[in-house]
Amino acid sequence: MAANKIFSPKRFGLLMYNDLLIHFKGYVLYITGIGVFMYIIMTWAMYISWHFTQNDYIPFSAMFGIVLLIVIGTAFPSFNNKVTAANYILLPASTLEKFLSQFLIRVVITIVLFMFIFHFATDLAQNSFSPEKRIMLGKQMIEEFSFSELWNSINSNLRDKIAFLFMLFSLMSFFFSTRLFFGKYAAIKTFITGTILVFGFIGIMILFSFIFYPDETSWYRETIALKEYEICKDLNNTQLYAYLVAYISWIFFLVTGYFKFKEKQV
Amino acid sequence: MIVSESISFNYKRKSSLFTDLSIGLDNGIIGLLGKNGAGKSTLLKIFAGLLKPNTGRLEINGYIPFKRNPDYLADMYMVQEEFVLPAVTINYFVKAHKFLYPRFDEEKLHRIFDEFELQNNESLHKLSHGQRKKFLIAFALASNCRLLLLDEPTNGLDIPAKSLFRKILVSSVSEDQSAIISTHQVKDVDTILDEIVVVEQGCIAFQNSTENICRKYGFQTVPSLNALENIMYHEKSPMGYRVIVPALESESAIDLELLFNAIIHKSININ
Repeated sequence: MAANKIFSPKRFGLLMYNDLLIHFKGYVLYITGIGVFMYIIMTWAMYISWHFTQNDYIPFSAMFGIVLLIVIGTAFPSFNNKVTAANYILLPASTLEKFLSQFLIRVVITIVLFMFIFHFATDLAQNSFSPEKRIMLGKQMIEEFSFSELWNSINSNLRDKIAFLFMLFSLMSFFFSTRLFFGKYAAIKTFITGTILVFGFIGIMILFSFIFYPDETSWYRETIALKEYEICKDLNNTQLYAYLVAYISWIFFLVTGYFKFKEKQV
Repeated sequence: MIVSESISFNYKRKSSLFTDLSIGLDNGIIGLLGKNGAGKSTLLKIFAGLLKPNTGRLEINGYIPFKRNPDYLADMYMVQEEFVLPAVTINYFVKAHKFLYPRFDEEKLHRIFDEFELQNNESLHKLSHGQRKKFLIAFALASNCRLLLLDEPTNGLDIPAKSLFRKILVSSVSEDQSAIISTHQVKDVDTILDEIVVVEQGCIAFQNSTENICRKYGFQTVPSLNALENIMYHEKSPMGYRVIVPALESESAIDLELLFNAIIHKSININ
């Protein structure tokens, strides 16, 4: 019974049903809008290009990734104002169920849908051209998009690729939790906080460089003196630090987001 | 049943709203009265679990509200003074929410809709403020939750709707339910209350059942004060004076506005 107050599959299902029913129109508009936008962009890019290769898909998938982050940033839409936030908090479901339902809809389902939309939009854009434009002198002038090709085009080892995926997931977790941290004007506050964090980090690096390596640092040459040393084969200290940040920070964002939600007062 | 002991609360960077608030409430229709800013809405939010008291103990039907146990939330419905409803039809809203409240009674909902003249297929966004309030009140009553928290429910209702609200509330709240109505428009609810609670300066200034009040006090309108002895409180009115005196031989209807003013001016002792 104690577990029931934390998570009940039936209640979770009802909460999902509630969310989908209330936001159905909004979701359909989002998906359609993004699909149409992507189709137009891809068609235009293929039209102006003489030979559209697999590598040409990379900037568009990066752009689509940014749109995905923005959409994930719309999680917990009720926290835009106090009245709707109160309504959401008072919905008869546990905090974990509410948190998970948002995660499932705004992250998991959104990622799957986005991948589908991207693939569909590129296919549709490609098929909008005449066979003559697509194949010239027996050569495929607009190459077909494939996720596996995109994955293979990342010129790194598997460890770096997985770290890259985790870093993306950490970014998504940050965007997912922003409304829980900031409430109103979450996007602007996220941008400001992110900027402060990045510049703060750089500032600390500069400060430490000047303190600990005064001979190797100057305002004209190197402002940050990084000492690299090998920890084991194919792994130095900077890489390890980057891996740790990439692999772990999503846990921090999700867990603090959850407890922020749990303790939220309206 | 609500039991609170020595609750204190203050908003961030503001002075204490409640310092040592203790209260026990049984089932029935309870009027939570107080001046603007006395903390009525805050107290309802604390009862709902939206705010956490700084100190003290609060238990409602065996639950601690701020823990937001889903079983507690499924047995409690709050109609806030300000509200935002999604851009869907009434039917859609009901479909999406009714399963979350295990005691929800759809027949009761449609009965109340009929009385309030609401249509299932109307879009919530196209309704007037008063109609939306009626819808929320109807939904809250149909949820059959054991605790109903109604914050200024008559604000935005026209005169016929106010009297309809009183009628519907009395017929809808059963013996195992508590409906706490926070209002500063005391005239809107004076005939339907089982218990009256007045919040003043962070404390409970008065709490008594309407039955006891009728037994203890008499409410009269007299042309002059000369003929009366033991006047506890009086106010000038177009007909002469409205007075509170010790209980009369025959019970008189409670003049809630007069009683409220008497409490605020400390002319009537607590309980």
